Amino acid sequence: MPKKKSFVITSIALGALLLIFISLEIAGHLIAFQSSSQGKSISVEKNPGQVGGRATSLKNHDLRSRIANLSPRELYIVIDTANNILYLKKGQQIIRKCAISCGSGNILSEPGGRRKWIFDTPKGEFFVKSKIKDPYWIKPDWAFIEEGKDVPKDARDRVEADYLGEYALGFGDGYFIHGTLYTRLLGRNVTHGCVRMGDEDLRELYMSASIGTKIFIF
Amino acid sequence: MLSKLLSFFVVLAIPANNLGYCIDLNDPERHLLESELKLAKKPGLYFILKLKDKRIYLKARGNLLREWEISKARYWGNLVDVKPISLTEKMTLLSPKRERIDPGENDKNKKYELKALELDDMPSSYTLSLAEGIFLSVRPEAKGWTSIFPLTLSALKRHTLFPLKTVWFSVKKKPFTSIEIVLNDKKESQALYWAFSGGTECIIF
Repeated sequence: MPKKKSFVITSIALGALLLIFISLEIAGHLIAFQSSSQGKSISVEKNPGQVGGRATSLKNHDLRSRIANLSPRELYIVIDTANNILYLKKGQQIIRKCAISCGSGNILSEPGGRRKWIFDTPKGEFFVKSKIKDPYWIKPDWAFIEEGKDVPKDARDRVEADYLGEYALGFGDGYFIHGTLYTRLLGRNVTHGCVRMGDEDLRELYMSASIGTKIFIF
Repeated sequence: MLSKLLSFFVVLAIPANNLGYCIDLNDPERHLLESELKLAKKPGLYFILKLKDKRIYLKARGNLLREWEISKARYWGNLVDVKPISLTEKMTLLSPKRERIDPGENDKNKKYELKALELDDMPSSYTLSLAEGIFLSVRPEAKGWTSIFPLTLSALKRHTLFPLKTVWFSVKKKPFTSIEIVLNDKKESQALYWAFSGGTECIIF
């Protein structure tokens, strides 16, 4: 007898739960249905050949052209920081695809907590601001702090040769696309925000890109 | 009475993934193009979520940078205007953690250990909170027995939380839209999380 009673109670509870679920679903749909039919006028283009339809189509064509005109016409660079791939492109055609290394996303805090650096490769739209052959690396403060060394007072102590490879392309705020000694790490996120490339790919990029070449980083 | 009864059954017959509501039907194409032109004129990346085409486009200056294929999409709540909307927050159960570098730890005598925040560290199920009360829930297509938990969670959200929220926000007269997007695989979902950063603008169409 108690078994039967508990069965009935469970059935009622399940039924009530199901009813609540269904009520919620219906209420949600009704609200969505109401909001979709209120305040929005529906204009259906019955005959696209009519003047109104043609005007709309021309307007849309004009808008499409204006958007397309904003795209770079020359070569441009696309950097996929998630997959560590650099594309040299013209239109939608890929001219070259290379393995790179982008920012590690790590955080370095100065002992004493005054300054903090996040080693991300910046995302957005940039352009090539400088092209340097046989670049020297002017080590910033974080490079010394990371190594646990004192930041030098003499600027000459910051200069390091043969570290950035044969070429470097600057894209602002101290960020460069440059070479690397650590080619085995290409394809991984290991840098302090710069973009590292292999020698061959870097040479090709240096020759192809000019000052002003657009760089899109995502 | 009969018409009321009929409309009730029509409403019942509308599935949750009917995306027709999302779109402003008053020349939607022009709204989309005008909104995109606004974004393409500015430097920076933007997204276009074309729910009907089941595609997400990442663009800059009108130029397509990357594209994601949506396997399933459902929505609840109010209509979404075809206009730029910015991302306010990325919400996930376990946010990816950045490694902290201890000064001096990269001693040349020590064995090199790679510490980085990479694509694999990104969550595959998350919610993107956009302005104007729009929530985009993203998850990968469920595969294998390990997906039982996320699938159950998703079903609970779909059948309880989202309808409840729709009712609640409607009573409160506040905007609420929830869109659930299922991507083909985990990597795609993680890459989308990576690409969306704070302030990124998007258009839902």
